[in-house]
Amino acid sequence: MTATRESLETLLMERALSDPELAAATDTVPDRPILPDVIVVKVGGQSLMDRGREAVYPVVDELVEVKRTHRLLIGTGGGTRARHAYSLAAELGLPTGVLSGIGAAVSGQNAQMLGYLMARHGVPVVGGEAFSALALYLGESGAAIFSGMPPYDMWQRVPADGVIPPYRTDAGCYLVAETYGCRRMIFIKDEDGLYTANPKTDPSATLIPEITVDELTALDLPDLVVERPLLELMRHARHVREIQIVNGLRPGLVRRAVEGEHVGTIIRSGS
Amino acid sequence: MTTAKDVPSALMRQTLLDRELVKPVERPVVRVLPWLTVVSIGGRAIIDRGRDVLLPVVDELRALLPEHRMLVLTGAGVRARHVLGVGLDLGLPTGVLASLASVESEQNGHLVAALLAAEGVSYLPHGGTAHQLAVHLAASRAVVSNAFPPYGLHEFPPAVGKIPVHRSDAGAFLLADAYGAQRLVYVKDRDLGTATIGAAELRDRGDSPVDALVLDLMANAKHVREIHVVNGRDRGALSDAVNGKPAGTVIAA
Repeated sequence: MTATRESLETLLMERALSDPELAAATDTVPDRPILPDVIVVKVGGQSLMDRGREAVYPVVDELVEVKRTHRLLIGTGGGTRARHAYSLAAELGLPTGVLSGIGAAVSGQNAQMLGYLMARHGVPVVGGEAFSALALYLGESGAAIFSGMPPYDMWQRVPADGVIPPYRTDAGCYLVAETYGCRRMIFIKDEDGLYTANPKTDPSATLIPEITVDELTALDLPDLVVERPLLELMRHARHVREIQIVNGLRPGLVRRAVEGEHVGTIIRSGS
Repeated sequence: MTTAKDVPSALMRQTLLDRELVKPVERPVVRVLPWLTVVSIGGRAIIDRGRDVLLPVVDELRALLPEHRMLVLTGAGVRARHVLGVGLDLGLPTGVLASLASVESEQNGHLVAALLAAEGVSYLPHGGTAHQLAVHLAASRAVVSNAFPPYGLHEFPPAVGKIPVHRSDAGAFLLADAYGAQRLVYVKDRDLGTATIGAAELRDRGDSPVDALVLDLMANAKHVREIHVVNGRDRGALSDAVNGKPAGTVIAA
């Protein structure tokens, strides 16, 4: 049942914002997705950008081709420089918040580089305030690039162990897709999808083509192709209830995933 | 197969998700500003009540300036409730609601900063609070900032409904812990008496004077292992808490 506007407003004025009845009343208000036909793709940092032209140019060509028929929001990952900075900062005893800010600069550099490569096709890099003009950029050029790291900075959540920011570029790109109510979220990485272990270090690892968040959580894998907290975010998502991880080193998979084909691993919020 | 251009580091080529591989780089976390006192002023509890309640709290803050270097954070109140109501009715998502509500706590910060401006206190936006706090507190005894964290469009989808989960209380806690602050005091319109209560116990009781999310965040905090909650309408309670005297309720991790 839909809460009446009056009862919702009464609850909003009288209850704590964490009140369960208030939460339930807000749950029934119909959503209006902001950019429902947009597809968010994340270009991996370590998996693609750090490999240079051999890996990046074909992906850029594919994205340019795809943006003729689909509107794309392209987020970027961090990669090896983020790992260096995290390692250095952690060793210096610096807190998660400082690491989060430094990590954001790395995905920012990757966004900048991708932006220069796609500039001739009219694709801008957007950040901060420019997000409010997103619709214009997408309308004009069919695509826009953003830095994948969420802006949590000194307010980043602290992990149970250590100081590495738990919400990084996978979570950042995904949350953009969820907030804008986008149609799809595709992670372009350098593996065919999710494996039972890290396929780069464990030859016995096997591909999991399709899995739910619950099933994946139950497996409790020691390593994962996407950030672990992303699974918890997906569980509660209203719009982006599945993600696909595809191999950007294999030509054509990005386009097929954008068009809705199952070409990598699909992780679903529920069955 | 192409090869990546790596920067050598202990975390090189890792997913950063393997718990065992990440361990070797961990060290005890330093307190970035060990002398910092963070005071979070409730929007609805204090600021919305206007001069009768807010001015005495501001007077107390003013009197504390010579002895303490403070980051004063302001929460959002009734206007945030209103904008949440309008935004919800329009069908806007949580991330947008978070941005809208954060504007209200920011405006409350400007009000409080203006009341303390003659003492050299200014409002500092998120970026300055995250990156230039040390220099501002070298120039002045205190600054005022927005207690809402800058989650905005990147706010998490809540477990139920659409109200943003990272609000003033959580924002103040995360920031105080990142800075390794000496003390975090929440100024509310109630406390649970002069007592020390465990966060887990309080969670079970369900009558926490701070947002329940803070009780959860305390479990992972590196430095802020206890928080103080005082009733801003009890004159002197804020001053006592900042001075380390028994006042209000202490919530311990």
